[in-house]
Amino acid sequence: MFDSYRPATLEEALELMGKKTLIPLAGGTDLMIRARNFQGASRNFKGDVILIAHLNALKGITETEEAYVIGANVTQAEMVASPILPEFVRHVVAEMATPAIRNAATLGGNIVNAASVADTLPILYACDAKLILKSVKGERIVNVEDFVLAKYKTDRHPDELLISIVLPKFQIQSYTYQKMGQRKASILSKVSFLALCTDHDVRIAIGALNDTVLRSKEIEKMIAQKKPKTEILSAYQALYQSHDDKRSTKAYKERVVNNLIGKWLDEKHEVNNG
Amino acid sequence: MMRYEFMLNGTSYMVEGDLTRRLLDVIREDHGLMGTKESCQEGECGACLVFIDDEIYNSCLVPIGNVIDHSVVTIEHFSKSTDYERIAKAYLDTGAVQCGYCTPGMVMATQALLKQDKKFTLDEIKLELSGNLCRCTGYQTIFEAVEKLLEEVQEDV
Ligand SMILES: Cc1cc2nc3c(=O)[nH]c(=O)nc-3n(C[C@H](O)[C@H](O)[C@H](O)COP(=O)(O)OP(=O)(O)OC[C@H]3O[C@@H](n4cnc5c(N)ncnc54)[C@H](O)[C@@H]3O)c2cc1C
Ligand code: FES
Ligand code: FES
Repeated sequence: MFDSYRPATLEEALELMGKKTLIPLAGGTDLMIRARNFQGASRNFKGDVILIAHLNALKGITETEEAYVIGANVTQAEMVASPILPEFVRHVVAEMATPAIRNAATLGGNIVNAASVADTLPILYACDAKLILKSVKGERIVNVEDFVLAKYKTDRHPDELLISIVLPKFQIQSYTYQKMGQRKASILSKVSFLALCTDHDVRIAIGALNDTVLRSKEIEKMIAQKKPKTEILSAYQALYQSHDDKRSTKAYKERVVNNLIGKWLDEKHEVNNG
Repeated sequence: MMRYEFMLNGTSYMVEGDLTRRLLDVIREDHGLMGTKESCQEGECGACLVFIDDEIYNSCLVPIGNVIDHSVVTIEHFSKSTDYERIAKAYLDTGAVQCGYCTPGMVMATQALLKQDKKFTLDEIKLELSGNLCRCTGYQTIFEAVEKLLEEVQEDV
């Protein structure tokens, strides 16, 4: 058997986590499934559990001059309904899961779960987001690409909670988002493609292809310099590390991504030429 | 020891012991409310939907500790409301109920849609109900019921 805790405050939570290793449980939409067990039986957790979804210190969306700050406990439904967040963020999140799941699922849970198919991660990579983590020992700020180490593997220390996510602000001129799945919603991404054109650069994040989100600032520079399409596509091709999985084959996923990039480049150049 | 409580269908109850028990199990086993169904156990089918503070949730994925100080409403309680009566009538009129297993969840998702008080295209209706699977009807009659309900709202305005 395992124990379950529900500390009243963040301070109490971190203190508990400093004393022994606990499994943080937020919305439960990943974890309750992983801990599945027979109907009526207690869940099959591999250790003691700490409930965090009620902690106010992890809630709320705010903004400063330079950034949006999103609490780890903010749900997908709250993100979609936010009057503060930019449209492309709300668009990506609105295409996740189902309405009922979005009411429970948190941003923090999507990040720390670190599935290769996690749909919020491409947003974070494209924005150069920073994550704020806390333990009894103090706070640290980590770049998202340094935090996600591999599929289902992060740099979170066992005594840490993810507190908030900082999305730097920039002027977006246009964006494109494509999520290729079998059904429109409620299906984990086969591959996703997010392209942002800001007033000073382009950013492309490809999700669910490699184990972690694919973003290359070098290739983005080539795009800004209007290098030929074939050169750009082969530069991306060299970075693909996908493999066959339950959902689709490596060849299929890479072909889909190449088509998405190619189509986007064609449209973008049309705009530039016109 | 902290005292934890939650509301179920308007009555306050204590929460004791394992806080990771599924809300679904508490509803069905402790309270004998069988209108909330269990099927996929993984958030895909919507048979287990309940309202928490008036929003729909998959009770098969909600740990009981997450509803402390919140209000849960199941189909048994919702079925006493006039909103429910309207939805039930539309479902019956269009033949949207066959075996009925998906119906409580489908009705709750329909209420969540209607509550938004705006227009929906058919594609948008499909997305709103995308968390609810039905093995019998082929969905067409369910979408018709929802469209009928949306039209009624329009006429009321
Ligand atoms: C039907 C269905 C459809 C889905 N569709 C999608 C989809 O389209 N796209 C997608 O990306 N995902 C999807 N998911 C997966 C899931 O909903 C998301 O990953 C969700 O964001 C997880 O959040 P949660 O709060 O439920 O996490 P939980 O299950 O509570 O936790 C997930 C992990 O994060 C850790 N954790 C959570 N919060 C913190 C914190 N603050 N600090 C430290 N660790 C923390 C937990 O310990 C756990 O390891 C779907 C799930 C279901 C059931
Ligand atoms: S039993 Fe909960 S969604 Fe299927
Ligand atoms: S009516 Fe039988 S599952 Fe929907």
